[in-house]
Amino acid sequence: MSACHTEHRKIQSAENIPVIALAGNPNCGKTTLFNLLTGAHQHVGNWPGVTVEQRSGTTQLRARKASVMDLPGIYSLLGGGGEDQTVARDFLLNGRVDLIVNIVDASNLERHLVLTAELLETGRPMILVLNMVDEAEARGLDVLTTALSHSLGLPVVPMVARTGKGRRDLLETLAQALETPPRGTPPTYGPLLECALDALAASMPGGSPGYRRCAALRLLEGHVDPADAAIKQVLHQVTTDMERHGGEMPADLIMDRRFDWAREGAASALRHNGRAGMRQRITDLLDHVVLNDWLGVPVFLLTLYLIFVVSFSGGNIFLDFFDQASAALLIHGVGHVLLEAGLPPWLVSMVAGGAGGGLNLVISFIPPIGLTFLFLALLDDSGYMARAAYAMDRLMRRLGLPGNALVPMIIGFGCNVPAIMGSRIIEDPRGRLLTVLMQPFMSCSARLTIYMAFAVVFFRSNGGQVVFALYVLGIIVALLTAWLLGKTALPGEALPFVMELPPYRLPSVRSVLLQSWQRLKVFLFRVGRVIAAIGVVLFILPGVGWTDHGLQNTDINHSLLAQGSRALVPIFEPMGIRADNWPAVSGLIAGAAAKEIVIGTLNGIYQRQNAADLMANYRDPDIAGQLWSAVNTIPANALTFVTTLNDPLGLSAMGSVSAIEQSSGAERATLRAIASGFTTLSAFAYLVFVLLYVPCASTMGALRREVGWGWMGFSLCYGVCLAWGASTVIYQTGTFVEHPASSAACIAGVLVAFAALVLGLRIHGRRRARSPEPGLFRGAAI
Amino acid sequence: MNPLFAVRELLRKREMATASQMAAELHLSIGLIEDMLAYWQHRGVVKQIFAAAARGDCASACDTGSCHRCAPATAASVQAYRWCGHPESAAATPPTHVLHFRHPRHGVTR
Repeated sequence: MSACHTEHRKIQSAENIPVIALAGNPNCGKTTLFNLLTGAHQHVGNWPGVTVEQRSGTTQLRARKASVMDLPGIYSLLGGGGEDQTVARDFLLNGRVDLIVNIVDASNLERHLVLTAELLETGRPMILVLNMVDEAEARGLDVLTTALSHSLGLPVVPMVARTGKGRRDLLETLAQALETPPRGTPPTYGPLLECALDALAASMPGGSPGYRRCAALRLLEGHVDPADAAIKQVLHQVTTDMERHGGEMPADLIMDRRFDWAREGAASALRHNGRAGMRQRITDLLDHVVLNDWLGVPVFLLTLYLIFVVSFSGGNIFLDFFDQASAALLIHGVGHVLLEAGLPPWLVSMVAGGAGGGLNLVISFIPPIGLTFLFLALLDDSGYMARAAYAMDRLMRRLGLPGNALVPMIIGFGCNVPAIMGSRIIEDPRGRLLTVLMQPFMSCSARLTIYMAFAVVFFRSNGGQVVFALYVLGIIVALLTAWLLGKTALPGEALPFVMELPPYRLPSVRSVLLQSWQRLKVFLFRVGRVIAAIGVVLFILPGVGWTDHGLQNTDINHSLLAQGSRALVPIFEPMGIRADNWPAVSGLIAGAAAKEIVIGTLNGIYQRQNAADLMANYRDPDIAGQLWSAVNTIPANALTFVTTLNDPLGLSAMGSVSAIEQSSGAERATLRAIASGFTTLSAFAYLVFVLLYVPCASTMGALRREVGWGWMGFSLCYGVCLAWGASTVIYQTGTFVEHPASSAACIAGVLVAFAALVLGLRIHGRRRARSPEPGLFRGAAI
Repeated sequence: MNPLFAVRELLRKREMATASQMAAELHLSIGLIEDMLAYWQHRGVVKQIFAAAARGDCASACDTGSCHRCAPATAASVQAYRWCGHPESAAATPPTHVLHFRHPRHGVTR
């Protein structure tokens, strides 16, 4: 079949046999095809004047021999690459070639067809080998050879060169092509470019029309200088006309058309089928929506909203079961066992009521929090969360924030500390500082327990909406804070956000369940441990108080805890905390150390306040009856869940006073005490305060470490003042009709203070601009 | 559609992006996007950089309430493209070597 060449020689041999050149992108299978055509007798030779290796061999096509040249892979005839590619280009453009075999990777078609477009423009005879069709099929692509052949005007041979599949067809096509050379249909470039090409081609003195068109293209692309002054004049004229007409350079227009031509050619030749095709269609459809300029952000907010509503409403089905069953076992059961064991009542009360009561609170929140984690894991695993961040990036940058600030914000939904540490991914110091200062306003999972407790009491039928509103409020305050600081104290430009978008995938049940369980487990053990511990402490602390005779055993209402909290109550009165609700203030003070403590504190105090006989529940508890009662709540709550599906916003509960009363009903002592200490409005104002004031001691520590003492102090004061101001405005606006004068004074005072803050920040910003500090983070650990 | 100009305009608007971000937004293959970005790179209006970025699957992996381990994992270096040119300067600089690609078979998934 082939003749072997072992000596170095020029390709323009004296032999009068046709020359077939194998051309294509690197790694498209040229050498494999070369070996397939020439057998094992290929020749490796050094060409005169170049140092790269070229391969040539011969093959038998029907009754005639043909020389086959294996050229180095190239991406373009226009330039680029190393010396080997230059040689290949020169050979294809200027060498003696009777037929070009353009090999393209079928699984990578739209990239490889760009070179095909350039090869077609040379006007040389050509066929196309569509190699690796097996890989394309493995990716769920149907290769439509006839359609491609029709659009290119060339013979197209589908092959798997690696296995030899299609070899016979290729040999037959090569033989035919040498007899009747196919020229193909090159891309057309639209009226503007075609006119320019025609004008340039007409100005050339000789050559075939194909050669003149190819030369005109290379002139327009700026790769060759015209020696002829007349051609130079025409080139200058058409280039100027085109730039004036469209504003784009001819080279760019030509390249754009080639990319588009390749894309269209690939689209006509490949059709997605089966699962892969469906997957691609779904990906395209989803990306159209979730990355849309206008829909991306609303879709993300709607997704978050649905997560919280479905988590809360769905969690409500099991919430009473978890609550009542854990109360029966951990409070009444444990209390009974300890009492029967002869332990003193104070110890029984401390263990069962304090630690057991705290654990009971945490366990009752497992359904809604577990569902929230489950849905977040689903979003993560599906690939949506990354796209949500990308969609939000535009909004972030419009607000003057660094694009990747969203990532720490999402982490902040879990815990503010890693969110602050995660801000290190932002290189720009200003952007990092702004991002860090936003994090305390993100609702961490510890705050979720407080939201849930109050939602159960005051917003039972629309708790999901309230929790969602608080999350959104946190996001808004965080964004506005960064925007305000960006406009005043920290002016500058925001940098964009980069992220690798993972492909969409169907979430794995095992992975989602494991991820959710890991999060829930850590949440339960961390929060549960703290609440149980604080429950024990709060059964001791409220027992001592300052009396006329010094520090003495007292009832809780005269304890140190009560005395200290009562002294601070007037500060919180404008936001709706009554003088007798000092436990709410105790909760806030404790919450400055850790948000988990707030509910634990309230639980401990209220239980102690309300229990006339703490031992009554432990003496003869009906554990079995309570457990059966707990089980019975599941179908009842499920029925409520189904009947409220047509009222996703929970508006029906607002229809009547009785419905509102019913919706805020609470069964447990602690929650009843919360219900009696607040109104719905003051409860919401309290939650807003909890959302906005100091997150916890750990977050403050992280702030100091990342941005220094100064900005940590600013964040602390800003958060407390903002929380107080926002809560006060909410409460005073809601009760405005009851006391318009004092409400107006309060609201006006808050607004004036806020204006003063903005002014102060602007002054600081101007001073900093005049005399910039050596660094933004004085005192920071980085 | 003018894919080459669409890529340029998107990057001009966003200033910095990865090929996968642009591929998802323009509904083109990552490979084709990289080729077009390589073209603009040689035209001098786009610069390839390695930027600190977030891994797409770690955005909310810290929702555990106590996770400090995840923070370093969120920072990863990704290959991104930054808009660095102006139309005027682009128009004034014709390409001498047009296409120069890095990885011939990299990243075509769509």
